[in-house]
Amino acid sequence: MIQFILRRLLIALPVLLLVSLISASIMQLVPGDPAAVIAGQNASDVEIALIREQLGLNQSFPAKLAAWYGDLARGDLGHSILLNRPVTQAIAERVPVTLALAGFALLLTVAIGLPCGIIAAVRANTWIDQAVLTFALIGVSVPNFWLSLMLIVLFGVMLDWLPAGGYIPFADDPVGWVRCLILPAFSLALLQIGLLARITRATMLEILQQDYIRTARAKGLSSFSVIAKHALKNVMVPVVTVIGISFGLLLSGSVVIETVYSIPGMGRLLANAIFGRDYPMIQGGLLVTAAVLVLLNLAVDVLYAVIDPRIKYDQR
Amino acid sequence: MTSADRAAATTVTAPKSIWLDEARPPPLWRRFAHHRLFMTGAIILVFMLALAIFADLIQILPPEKMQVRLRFQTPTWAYPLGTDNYGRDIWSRLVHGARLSLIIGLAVALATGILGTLIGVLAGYFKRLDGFLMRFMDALMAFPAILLAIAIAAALGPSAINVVIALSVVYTPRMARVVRSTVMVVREMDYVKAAKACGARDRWIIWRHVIPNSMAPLLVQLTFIFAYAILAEAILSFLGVGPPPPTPTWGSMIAEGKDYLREAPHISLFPGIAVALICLGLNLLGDGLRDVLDPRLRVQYG
Amino acid sequence: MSLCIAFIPQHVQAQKHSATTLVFGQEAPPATLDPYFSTAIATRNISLHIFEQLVTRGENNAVIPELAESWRISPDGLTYTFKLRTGVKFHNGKELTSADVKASFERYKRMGLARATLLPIASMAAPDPSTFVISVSKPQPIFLEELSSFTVPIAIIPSEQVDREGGKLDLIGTGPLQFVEWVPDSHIRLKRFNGYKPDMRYKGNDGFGGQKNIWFDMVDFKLVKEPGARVAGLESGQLQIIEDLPAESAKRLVGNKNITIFDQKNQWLHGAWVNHHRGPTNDLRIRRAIQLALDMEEIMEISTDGTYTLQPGLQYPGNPYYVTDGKELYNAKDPKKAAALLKEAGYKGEELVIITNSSYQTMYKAAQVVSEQLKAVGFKVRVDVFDWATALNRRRDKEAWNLWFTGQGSGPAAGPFSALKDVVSPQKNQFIADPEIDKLFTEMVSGATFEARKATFGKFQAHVYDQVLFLKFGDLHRKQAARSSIKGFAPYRIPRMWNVWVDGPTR
Repeated sequence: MIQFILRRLLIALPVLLLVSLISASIMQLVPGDPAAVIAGQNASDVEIALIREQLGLNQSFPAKLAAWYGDLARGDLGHSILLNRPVTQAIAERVPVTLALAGFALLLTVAIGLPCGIIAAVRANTWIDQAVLTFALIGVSVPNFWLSLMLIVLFGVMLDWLPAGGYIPFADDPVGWVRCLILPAFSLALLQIGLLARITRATMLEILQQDYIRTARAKGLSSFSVIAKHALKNVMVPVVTVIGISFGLLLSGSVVIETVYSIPGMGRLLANAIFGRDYPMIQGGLLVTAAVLVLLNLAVDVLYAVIDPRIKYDQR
Repeated sequence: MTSADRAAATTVTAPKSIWLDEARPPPLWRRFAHHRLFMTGAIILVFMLALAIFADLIQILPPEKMQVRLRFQTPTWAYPLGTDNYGRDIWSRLVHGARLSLIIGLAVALATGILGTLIGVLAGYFKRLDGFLMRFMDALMAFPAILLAIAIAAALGPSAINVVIALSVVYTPRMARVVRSTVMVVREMDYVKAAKACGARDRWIIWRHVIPNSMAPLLVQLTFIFAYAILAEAILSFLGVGPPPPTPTWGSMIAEGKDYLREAPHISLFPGIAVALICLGLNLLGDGLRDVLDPRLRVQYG
Repeated sequence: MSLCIAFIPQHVQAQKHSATTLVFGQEAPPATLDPYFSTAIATRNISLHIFEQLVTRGENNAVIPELAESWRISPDGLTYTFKLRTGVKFHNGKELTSADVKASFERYKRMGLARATLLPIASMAAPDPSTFVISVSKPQPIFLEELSSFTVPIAIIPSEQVDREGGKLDLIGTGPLQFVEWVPDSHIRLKRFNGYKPDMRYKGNDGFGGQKNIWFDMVDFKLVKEPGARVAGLESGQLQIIEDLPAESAKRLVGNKNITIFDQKNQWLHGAWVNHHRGPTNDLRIRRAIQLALDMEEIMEISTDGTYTLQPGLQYPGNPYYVTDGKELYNAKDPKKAAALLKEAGYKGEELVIITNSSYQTMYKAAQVVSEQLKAVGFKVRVDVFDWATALNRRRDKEAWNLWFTGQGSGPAAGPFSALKDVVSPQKNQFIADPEIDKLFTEMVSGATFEARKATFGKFQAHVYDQVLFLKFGDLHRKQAARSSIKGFAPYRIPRMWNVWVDGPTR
């Protein structure tokens, strides 16, 4: 196991290197620069040029890249042009928010998707099954940013049950924190709920057909204990995979939701950085995000092995 | 095998068979026709295609025509879906929007299909290329999809083609992964080994054996990518980096309506329903394809 | 602009101190809070609460003293002697002296975005702690107007900051609010500066200056980009004041007793820069055809949802320099004549490129309408929509566009000398220098009397219309709104948080 983990971490390094190269190259191609954005539209060309000089934007691409890698080796992700603070600090401020959102969404995904999938499988081909399948199908089809807009109108404005946007830190007001995250987390989770429900149902169906289940039933064990003891354990393996991937997708997909609900998370930070041409922020932020996703994949694989003793990574 | 691989191959169906005579299943087309959900999806898709193709005929007004005095009309007989903040007829814009949305979705699916298959086959079949290719694909997949698409679209400039390019870059790694998994399985099959033993050239083996046997998961993935692409184009248009006006897209219609949600929710409502509907149809289609083409696709335990 | 000079009785003042936070919903995040380093509204909204100027503008754009007690101009017009107010403290407790003023001017001269303003200065001196002297090389009739400009305000900073680079300034000023924290993309928090001495020469608000009393402990500038979210925040009470209330929402909220709606007139001139280099707009007849083809009412109605005024001036009605020269060419609305002019000019269908952006909805919408109106008279039009950064970039490329959509805000507001300064060399947004306009501009800023300057400005404006150096669509207004319990709020070019108090529950 240790060997496996080490090997995967080793492979992650060139991947992350590629990530930073790709993002730097793409941003090099993007026209526009932060100096013009900072100066405002009525600034003259002369003024913009002077700001560029102050910000060190006139270096060549290889020079900039080399400087960035040099800083990285010392653990310095650079200084955000637009936010005027170290990149690491800006990320540290935003990561908890996105984690909270994605975590809440993951909670909803598992809390709703898993039971729905199990129930649908147990009551296969009844109206419950059809209802779950339909709901799941709608969940994966509806554009979540559009749904967010409709939900804001309904709950945030017409009914005034929930805030229409913004973020309240948990430390400030736990109840407010929950209230402001419900709609965004739900919008974000909807697609994953649908997916999880479908996959859980399918896996569950598969397992319920297995011989050992029939044997258990023949032995006279009640349905409930059959499901609880035997089926669930085996359902967990593929389901854990999906949950792990869901979390990754939730983290990635938060960009639009954070924008619609004005939540100051990593997704919106990076999107604004791209729009504002805040190169250090983009490079640093994308690297951190990629690293998190890589580690997440690794964690899921390790968890996999822990749950299913048949899996042995070191044999390969 | 990583969890990503596992997920890529994760497609499961209810194994209950509907055919009484297992020994001789009916021809393919009849299996499709009997699959209710598949047919529902197909009908939805054909309906949307018809809207797009005949847009010029079924429109009420040209989609760019602005009528200042008739802004924010709620649905009426004259304007069944109402008018937007420019006074343009929403129905007309919706059917024209279908064109661009469907074309972009299809183009992305095709580009991703071709590129993803190419890379996936190369990586799956030739062990020497696998490491390098997959690291590159991993790197692309480590970017949050939307951010990558925004960055590429911003770099290339606003146009439908650039949106297609951006989305193809985002989805190709995912497709390549799926194809690679399948190819790796097919590669070990007896008939491939036999062909190799006979001295057949790799190119021929790939063309004759590997690709045809990998088609099933590929087609299924393609329908889902078609759906993702339509959604993604809507998001890109919503964020302001989609195809430029005046050609309407569903995403830009939702974006234009978002400032008037409370006062005129119908502007954003209808294009959103349209996107949901076509994605629904495509998902049903994909599920049906999976059920009929290869019900043996199942969860892999690595 | 609403006049709001409020006289607040002593006993009411004592009652108004509330231990609460005033929350303001701001649309755009500031890129920086360094007042020398940006022309953006988002920066000014906040920095002009933290900092103050030597002289500033009053409610009707006149020059008024702020940190200056008084000033004297020598008879030959070459020496300006300012006497500073005494007992003014910075947020760090340091007392304001002329050394700080001199340092501020030096930093501005070195890296302030509008440092060209200080070019005429030959030398500066601080002979004693409350006297500051500027010597100019030639008489500058509008020097005080320039010094009091608010586009890039010459905020007074402590002298220790003189060598700070742009954007690296410590936010320590003399203003009534003190910087607490800035959480990017979330909020900027300011708190009442208890060492602030309101300027008792004034009775209440006067433009950017006046007697500034703060009746809240904290003021939060919350960044809420989406207009719908701002409105929702206001309706639920989470935001007490918001800027940029969408017109449609305003219509809906008119009867709401909990909400007061304010007009913020003349936010900016809505219009487009015209490229004189790139075809087809290099031909004056084609430019005139564009002028004739446009229906300004349709453009403004759609892009502002009804909050606008149609008038030809490059200044606003009520401004001292307001003139209407050139009005025959404004909103002439003659599509037939436009089409005929196109034919006469031999228009062969060259593509007219419009650049607009997705960041400012008003500019985006205006571009759609203009594009359709131009197509209707026979133009072939392409609309390029970019994000703001790219659009700004493309504006400097003379082959990339024919019309570039913009909103000219603080320029016209600060006066005629900055109204359309960008058409004058060397900036020349139209890319081809216009010697006539350059001459008129120089004449205008050196005009010895107000009447002379105004007359020249009339000619300047007429020439802009004649040569189509700029296409003006109309005056764009905005609406702001506050909870009805918030009293004393009077919109201005910045949302003034002083002399604002809450009467009753804040929600």
